[in-house]
Amino acid sequence: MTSILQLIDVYKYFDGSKVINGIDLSVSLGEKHALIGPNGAGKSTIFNLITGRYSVSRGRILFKGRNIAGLPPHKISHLGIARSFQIINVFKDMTVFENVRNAIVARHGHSLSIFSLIGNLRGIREETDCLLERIHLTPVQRELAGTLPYGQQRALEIGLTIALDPELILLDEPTAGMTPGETREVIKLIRETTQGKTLMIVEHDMEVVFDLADRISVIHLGKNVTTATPEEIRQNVTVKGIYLGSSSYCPEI
Amino acid sequence: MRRYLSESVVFLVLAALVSYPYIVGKFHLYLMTEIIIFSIFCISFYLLLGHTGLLSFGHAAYFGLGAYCTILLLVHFPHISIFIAIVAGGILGLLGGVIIGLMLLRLTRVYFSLATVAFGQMIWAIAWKWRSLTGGDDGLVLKSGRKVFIPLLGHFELNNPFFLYYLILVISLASVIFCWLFTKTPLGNTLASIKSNANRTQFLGVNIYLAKLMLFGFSGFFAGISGSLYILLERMVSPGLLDMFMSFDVIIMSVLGGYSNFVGPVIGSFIYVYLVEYLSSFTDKWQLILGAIFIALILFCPNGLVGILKSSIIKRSMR
Repeated sequence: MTSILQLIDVYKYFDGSKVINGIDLSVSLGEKHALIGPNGAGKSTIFNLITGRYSVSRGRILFKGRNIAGLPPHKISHLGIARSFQIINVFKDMTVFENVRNAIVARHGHSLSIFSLIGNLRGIREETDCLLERIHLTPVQRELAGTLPYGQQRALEIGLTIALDPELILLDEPTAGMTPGETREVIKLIRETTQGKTLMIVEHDMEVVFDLADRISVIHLGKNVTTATPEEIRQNVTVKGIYLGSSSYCPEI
Repeated sequence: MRRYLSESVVFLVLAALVSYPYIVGKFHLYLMTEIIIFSIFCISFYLLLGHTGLLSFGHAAYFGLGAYCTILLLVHFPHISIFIAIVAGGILGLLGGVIIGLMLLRLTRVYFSLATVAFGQMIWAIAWKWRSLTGGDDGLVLKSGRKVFIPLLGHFELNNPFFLYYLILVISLASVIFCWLFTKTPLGNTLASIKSNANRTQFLGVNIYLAKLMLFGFSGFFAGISGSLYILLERMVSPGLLDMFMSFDVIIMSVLGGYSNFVGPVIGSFIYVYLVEYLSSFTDKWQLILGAIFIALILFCPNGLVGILKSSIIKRSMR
């Protein structure tokens, strides 16, 4: 299978301590790839390195064969990688409609244009309405995003990511802090909206991971311990050791 | 109902502005002209602080660049059209904004604000030291007696306070409309989203550095225009127009009126000009009182006078 994203021997140091310690990782085109591992393993850091939030200390990150390590976040976003955040990161004091419109306008490259009014841009309104429909937020589109219930803010967080119509979607703990009911909703939403796309997901809820992922990479101490199918991961002795040895976290494996 | 309310308020304000010269004497007309000029200056500042969340302590630099540019053109080229001189002032303000922006906009928050002080003072030092061009401490004076030709209306004396008032009013209204439309463009919307959440805006694929740079140019242009208009009113320039205290003045005006919308800066300039006028007629230590008012406002109503009005209206409608 052709890989869309490759991390080759990537390191990240923070003040001398190695957080990412020579990681190799390959994501295939069209697959749903989950990153699991104990807290502090470096999963979110990997996302931050891929999307340019942090700079890479050493190593290469290839997206469709091109090295993107060192590019600023907006350029990486333009190439077709979009991410959501572990801590909700929406435009809290703007309406839900405006939130989605920001993303749609950005995707069409109109963000810096000054020769038309935003209300007159062609097709933006329709696309925004369409996306609001897809993430089931049409009824609350006039509310300020910060006033929405947590589950709906999560849906908006995902909405802002998919609104960019990226080839590679990175979701950082999309179900963090949700009730089981809300989690089911969000997983359904992720399934619907990421069809035919490549997805990378960091997730602690193992039920979600095993349900959703085609392949799983286990991250431990800033390294990729193994990448395999959910079935193989379930049987893997090393993985059991990492989880049971580090904490009593996730006893299901 | 609300819609008609705001439309009628706009109509009443416009009617008052147009008839103002017939209602008051020369002195108040002069003050009003000054208020209109400061309003544009404040609105250009509002675009930075209120709309995008950038606190600049060097905004007078663009005002001063516009002022110096206009007076230099008018002094050295007696036959140049004042409109060209005004637009040139705006363009110099724009260039100043872009050049300073190029150097500063990678900085964020307090580092940005502190660096604006340094660059503002640098421009001031140039105006102060470059005696052969700027007249240094003495500044420059514009000779009176200039005539302005307005198509269809004929020739007017620039010294005529009535004419000057209407000239400045028209240019200022056009500037307000441009600034207001600017906030409704995609770029204006992007700047509002930068204020709301710069980090997320970046991850939507927006080059926020470029967005802020364009804002700096736009804001610098209208600050420059207001500086140019100030020259027409005062007919002289000195380095005081672009020093730190002028930059503080625009901040004080913004805090007085509030900087959450376009109305605040206008009300702020109005209060400021009259407050300074009356305080300084009582005592020469008027700055002490102004400072106390400033501190009280920051402590007790950080949203300025517009904020007080808004919350009292909301309270009333809740009853």
